[in-house]
Amino acid sequence: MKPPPGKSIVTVDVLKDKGYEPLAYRYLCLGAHYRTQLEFSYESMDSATKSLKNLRAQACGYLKEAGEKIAETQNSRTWKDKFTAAMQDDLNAPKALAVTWEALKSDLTAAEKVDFLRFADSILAIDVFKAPIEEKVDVPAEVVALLEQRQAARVAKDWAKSDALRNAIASAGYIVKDTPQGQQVTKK
Amino acid sequence: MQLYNTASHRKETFTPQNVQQVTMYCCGPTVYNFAHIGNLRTYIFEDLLARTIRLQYPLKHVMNVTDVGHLVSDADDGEDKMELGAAREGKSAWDIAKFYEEKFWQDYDALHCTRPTVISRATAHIPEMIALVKTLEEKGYTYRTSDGIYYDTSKFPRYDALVGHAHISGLQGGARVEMSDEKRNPTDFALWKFSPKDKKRQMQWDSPWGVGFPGWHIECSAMAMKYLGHTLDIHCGGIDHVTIHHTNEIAQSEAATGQKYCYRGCTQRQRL
Repeated sequence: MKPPPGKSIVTVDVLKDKGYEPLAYRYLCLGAHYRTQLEFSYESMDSATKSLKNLRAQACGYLKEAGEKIAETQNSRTWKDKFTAAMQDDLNAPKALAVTWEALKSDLTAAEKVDFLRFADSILAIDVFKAPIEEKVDVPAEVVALLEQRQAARVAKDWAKSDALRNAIASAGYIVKDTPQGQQVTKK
Repeated sequence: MQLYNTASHRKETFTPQNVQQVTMYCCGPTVYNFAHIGNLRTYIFEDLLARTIRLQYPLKHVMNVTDVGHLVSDADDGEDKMELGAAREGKSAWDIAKFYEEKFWQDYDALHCTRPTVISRATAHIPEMIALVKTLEEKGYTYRTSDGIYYDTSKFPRYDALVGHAHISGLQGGARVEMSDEKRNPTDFALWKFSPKDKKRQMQWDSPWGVGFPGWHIECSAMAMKYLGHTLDIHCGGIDHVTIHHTNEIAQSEAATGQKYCYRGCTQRQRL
């Protein structure tokens, strides 16, 4: 079913079609107090997406570092209380979000940060522990060719050639990693 | 917890009537089209409110789904948005409601908004709406015109409480709204609209006054009070609802029950 003709409205589906995650819109809304006007633009969606990714990357890092020993401490409680105070002050979500970023920069241990983030995300609900999705890298044809040559060199156990090709790929702006699934390439 | 109260125009300490259960009513979507992200911002804010309240108290959160009776103009003119959607897409009004409501919940879930405790569809509460109009009729707040049963706002002295006297007297000067010949006051609104004589509506019901459909405002009052009692702790909605929809909800509910409708006023978001 199509929207009515002549009027282009921005819907969740429109955001998804443009490659945005719906929760990036939630993040964007969290950054403006509910009684203020929110200026919507795709630039602001880009910046919300970037912040959300950054937040998740940090959260996932601390989760890995913390391992199994996550429990509330006096310190994590203090940060939770700061967060709650912001929300209970007429739903000051921008402040609560700022408290979240400050907590990440604070001297809390990784386990305490995870404990705080679990609580914060029970209100923010932006999936802070969602592992960032590997970005699909658009690799130019010449780099694809180098990757294929390198793959062949590795099969032939020609390590010197393999390393030379790695350097050639690097000077083209890409980093190649060898994984059990084969070569993985990311942008420098 | 501090919350802004639209009625008092300031932040106030929020204390529920009953700490065992906070009651919150939210104006839900009119399901005749896709929700745009500005509509959805309201539900994100209401979800933040619900989650924050739940840190302290159990919460009963009711949201309606308007699937009949919301006219193109808030002032009881124009076509029903549902019937308009049906004509636009060559489907029945019932199919339009079903399709766009499903779509609405998909978007709502995608934004991680917590589902309300009660979801109430207007078309499933016609008897409650008729009963409320009857009460208002018995108490002398209504009059009949050729197209429906109307609420006489001049009989409710506190009508201007939410939006202020200046706004209402501006309306009374006739500056903002063209008044239909039969309305007694520019701010009067339809409680029950008759089906047009020349055209069969897809959504219509029998009533003591004739075949027709409920006014948009009576829908919310009837459903809110059915699930949450005469006095709600919090009533939420978009800022575009303050001047007409919420003002009318308060007028008809308080006239019917003699009790305060919103214990702690209404919280609103700014328009996107």
